[in-house]
Amino acid sequence: METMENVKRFNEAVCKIKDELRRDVVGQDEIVDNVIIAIIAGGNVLLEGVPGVGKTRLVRSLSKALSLDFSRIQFTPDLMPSDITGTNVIEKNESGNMITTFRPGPIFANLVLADEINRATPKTQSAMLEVMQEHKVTVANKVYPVKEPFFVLATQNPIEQDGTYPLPEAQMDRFFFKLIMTFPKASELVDIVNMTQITMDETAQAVIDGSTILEMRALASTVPVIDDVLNYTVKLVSGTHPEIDGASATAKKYIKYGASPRAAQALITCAKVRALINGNYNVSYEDINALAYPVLRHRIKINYAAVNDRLSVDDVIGMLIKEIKK
Amino acid sequence: MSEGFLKIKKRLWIKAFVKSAVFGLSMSLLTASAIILMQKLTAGSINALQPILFGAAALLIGFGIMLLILYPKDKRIAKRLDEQFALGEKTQTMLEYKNDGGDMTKIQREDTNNRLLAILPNALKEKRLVLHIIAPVLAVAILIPAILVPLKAVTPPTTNEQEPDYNVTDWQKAAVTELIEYVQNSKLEEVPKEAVLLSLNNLLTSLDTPRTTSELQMYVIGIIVDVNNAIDSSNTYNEIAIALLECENEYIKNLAAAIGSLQAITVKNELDHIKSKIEKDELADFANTLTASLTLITPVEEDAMLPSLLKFAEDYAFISQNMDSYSDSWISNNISGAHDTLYEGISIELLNQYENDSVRKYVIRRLVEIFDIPDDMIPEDVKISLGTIGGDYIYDEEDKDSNLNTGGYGNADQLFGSNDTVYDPETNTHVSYGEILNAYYAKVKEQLMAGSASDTLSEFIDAYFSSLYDGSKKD
Repeated sequence: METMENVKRFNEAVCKIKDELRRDVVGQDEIVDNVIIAIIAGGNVLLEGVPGVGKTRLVRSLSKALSLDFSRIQFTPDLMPSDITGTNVIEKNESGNMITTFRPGPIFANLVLADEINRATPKTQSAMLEVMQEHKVTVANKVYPVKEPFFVLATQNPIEQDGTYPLPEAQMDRFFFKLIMTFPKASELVDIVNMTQITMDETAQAVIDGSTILEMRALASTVPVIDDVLNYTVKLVSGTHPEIDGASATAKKYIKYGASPRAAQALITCAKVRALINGNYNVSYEDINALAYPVLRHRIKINYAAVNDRLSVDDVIGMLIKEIKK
Repeated sequence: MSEGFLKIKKRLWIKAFVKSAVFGLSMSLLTASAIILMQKLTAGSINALQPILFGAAALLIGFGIMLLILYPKDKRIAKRLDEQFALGEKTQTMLEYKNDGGDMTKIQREDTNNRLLAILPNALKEKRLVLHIIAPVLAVAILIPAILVPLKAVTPPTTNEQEPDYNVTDWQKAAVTELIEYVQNSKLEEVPKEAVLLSLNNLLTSLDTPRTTSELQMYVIGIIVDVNNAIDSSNTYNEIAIALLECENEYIKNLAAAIGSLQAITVKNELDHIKSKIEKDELADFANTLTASLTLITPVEEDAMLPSLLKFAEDYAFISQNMDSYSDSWISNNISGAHDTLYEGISIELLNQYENDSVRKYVIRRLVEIFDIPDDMIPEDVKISLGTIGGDYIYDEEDKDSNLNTGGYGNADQLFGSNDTVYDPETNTHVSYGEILNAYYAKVKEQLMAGSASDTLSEFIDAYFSSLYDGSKKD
């Protein structure tokens, strides 16, 4: 059966990607898995971690492995929106006439690394909104679609918040996942040091291309989800809202703002990919629960009571999962 | 549908059926045992139909209910399989998308089927097995005592302790017969005599009817009341005396007291007292008051007392109305005439009513004695009337010690007994009983020695007269 073949190829591709990424990124297996899931699902990822944990390296390695057109945008406070999207310039054409030509910005790539995205001004950050959601850029009333597949992998530093601009909720909501890259373990650090003694450059090789990703995406979308799992997902996302009827006790106690409907979409879409990657042909509760953390942690805002009880966002998500009945 | 799923489903169906059957049988056994146990403990016998019917019903109901509960629905089976074997909702997905034609869903179904086929049906864990064991255990727990407990011994119903039948003796029958003869030979007036004899004869004939003691006593009480009422209805003295006592005139009140004593001599004395004491200006009041009191009384057929008194009142009225036209001697003569007329008319009636009352009291006392009627069973009004002859009349406290009667054995200085008088047939008057006591006793003794009474009655009569001799000395 063709689909069976496709599934085989899917799993092979994923394995290959992982293998290539492991050549450049030591440890961080969960991060790598989730990034792959997000990429296949067609979502953007926000990577958070202290400097030097390999955020940029991961993205660059990924772009090589996926044979994707890569672009890096270093966000600084003086970065302008047009620096991202591109702008119209006036130039002389072949016949010597002055014409307006659109010069695309670095956003016009398959894989865009928005490094330290929180250092740019809100105005500049908002330039990312349209392209992240709709995969197009509007400049001077003209719409320019970006290349598909298109991903934004943004990074931010959890320390050094001075001089940074926290991402607006609308933009945060456009990231499928927020992944926390932790400091590597001692053994991993040894491997990192040894590896980077040889070369600092990423050594990942291209294993698939953009069209394959699109095919993988299409295949993953056919993975079935039963109504019970779907309802559970909805309950989970609704359960983050303290203001609705029947709100969960956890939400009432610890959550200030709940997740948007995009969270439910992201959960289901990514769960299908995850199921297929794990060799399953259906979405399970386990898939949803596993992805709840990266999907919800940047979408809900905990209140002072949670801070007072020394609870992190992930702790609150864990409490929610326990509370919501299947 | 997946082969693996169907295999498991079939297995679950069989299990559900068996569990339901076990439950139904347990319920049936439990019900039947409970009924048998109850019957043994309460009824003392076993009605086999009840445990069979109820047991059958319990079997069907228990089986049905349990089958409904355990009914292996596809979704329930799928969920159970996914949970128990950590299949990650594969079975449920397979079920939900069983009709989906997509390639992915087909792969999913195949994959799930393969996994299900790999599951051994016996690997399916029994859920809540303990609950399925409870019913049979409970059934056995009830069955054992139902078998072992013996039938309740049925004791015959205890009968209430019945009062034994009263054994009427021959002496009692003879005593009643004597009483009947006494009444027949007495001077009781005809109308009450007929009634009393009827009552006594009924009593005599009914003595053969088996009765308990209390029934007989009540029957005799009834006879006593009948006798009392029959004779009382003929005697007007009591009613007249009570009516006259109600008025304010002292002469009339004293006359009433005299009438109430049923003693002619007393009445005579009182009439003489009135004649000697009454003033001219008192005549009218006397007449009017007497008339007013007497008109309240209901006349009795063949009674001479009330008509005599009414005539007496008329005479006084005539005198009072005409006294201004005549001299004092005329007044005095007419008063004497009125008194004589009254006495003539009333004295016989007093005697008759005295006789009536004597017979009444005698008959009642004899009945009480013969049948040993307890004092508290005798009606109060009858009891009161069994006092001294003429004792229905209530004297004033002052009159109690007055020497209205001069009865008693002995002489005036030393009198024994009460102040009662008795009738002297020789002189047709009432005299102090002490004067004729000896004569009476002699007569009676003569009859007793001739064997006219039974030994028991003879002893009674002897004792009676002896008590009359003793009495109590009058102060």
